[in-house]
Amino acid sequence: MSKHIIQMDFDIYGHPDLSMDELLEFVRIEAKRIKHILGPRAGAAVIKRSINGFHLEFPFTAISEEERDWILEGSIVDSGYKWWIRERNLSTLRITPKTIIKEIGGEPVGVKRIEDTPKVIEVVE
Amino acid sequence: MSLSYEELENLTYEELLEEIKREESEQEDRRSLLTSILLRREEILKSIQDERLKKPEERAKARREKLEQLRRTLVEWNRQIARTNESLKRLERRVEELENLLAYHEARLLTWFISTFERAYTRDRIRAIRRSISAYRGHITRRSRLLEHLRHSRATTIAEIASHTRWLRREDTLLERIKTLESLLDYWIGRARSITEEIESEAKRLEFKYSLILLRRVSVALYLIIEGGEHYYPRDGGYYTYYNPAKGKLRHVRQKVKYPKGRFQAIVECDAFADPRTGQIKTDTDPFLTLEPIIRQDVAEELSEEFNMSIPPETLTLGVASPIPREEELGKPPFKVSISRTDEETGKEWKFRVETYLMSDEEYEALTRGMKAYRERLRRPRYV
Repeated sequence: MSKHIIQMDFDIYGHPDLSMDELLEFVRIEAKRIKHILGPRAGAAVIKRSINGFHLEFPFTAISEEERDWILEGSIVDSGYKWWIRERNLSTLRITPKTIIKEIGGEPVGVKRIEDTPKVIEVVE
Repeated sequence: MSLSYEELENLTYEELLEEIKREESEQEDRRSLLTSILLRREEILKSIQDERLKKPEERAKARREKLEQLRRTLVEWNRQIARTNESLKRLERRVEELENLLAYHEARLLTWFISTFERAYTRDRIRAIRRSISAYRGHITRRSRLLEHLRHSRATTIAEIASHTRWLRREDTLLERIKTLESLLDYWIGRARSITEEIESEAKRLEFKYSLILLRRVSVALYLIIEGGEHYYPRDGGYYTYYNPAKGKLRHVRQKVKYPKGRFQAIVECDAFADPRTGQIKTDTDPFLTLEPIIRQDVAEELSEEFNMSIPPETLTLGVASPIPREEELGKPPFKVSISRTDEETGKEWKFRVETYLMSDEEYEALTRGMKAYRERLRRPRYV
């Protein structure tokens, strides 16, 4: 049984009523909630700022898939994100700028490059 | 004596974290000492003002209050001294234990009856113990310095209490009183300056330790999001040819097939240095710096072959994936786990487990031969 680290993506599109500061508070609350659940197993929580939201990561955690699903169940992260993680049994968070391509006839006709690298803004010990 | 650069470089992740934690707690103690000293300085400035302006009765009342406050401060100094003494004793006990252990292992090396394997193991153990002793002695030196600051501060506070108590019975002249208080003020200012300098130099040391990064086996995801598009068939750029009986001639056509929004993704495991505090991969440090273009090239080729489309390697987005690779894989070549194609509308995923190393062990060894820090870290020395 493989173990996983915890990764979460909070986009402002998923919480349109919130400002960025309020969303950051949400992310902090989520970090504390997970730390409370996992105790010393959680390790440090890293909050990163991306172009339209925040990434929350527990890089020193090793939890099973069941535990991950259980944590996601009560999480305030986007429902779509939850669904994708369960569906693929995998989560990813980018660390480089993002490229989106539109192709026609095998040739890329539109390349959208989002020049944003997520930066660590807070470490919740 | 503290850990040398080479010794610090050779620490494993847990050891480095332990070292950083200990340094942080020492730095915290220094900061709290500085705060107390700055507070004392402010209080003496206020005392000087009181001595100049207040009437004798008011002065006496203010002195009694001040004495109460100073006694409380004294209790606080005593508490901090006791705590520092305790931690010093703990460190000294640990050093004694380790020295005994070192003597035992060194004596073992002198005997003839241990095997070659045991001999090699004992040598590793001796190296680790010596490193630990160096680390603990470094902490003892720094703790002792802190203890000295605390003892001086306590002595000065006692002197201040003595002055105020004496002035309750019989006051010196204003000039003498101000002179005494100003000398105390000078003392606290000097002490604050020296502690600030110490905090700054220790912060640099801590910064250096933070910069020492840990080696991990990480799962990385390389993906490309396709917003939408279409393919012409046949793919080779030609046409399908068929005879239309109604028109009585040959038709040349190409078929256009749309494909949905989704992403092409590959999961690869590889070695990388990471920040010990935040766990983030250091993309600008070897081995990841060298491995990244190789992985990108391989993944782009694989995706291009599987899905019959051209993907430039530099367009792939790099991310960290959640599965934790096995620790035993550390030091092995990059391992391609899977490639997949996801359709975002239907949620369907086409996944193919590749499970192959991108290169042989010999090739990887040749590639990483020049990476000194990486090769040394792979030895993973033990820490006591």
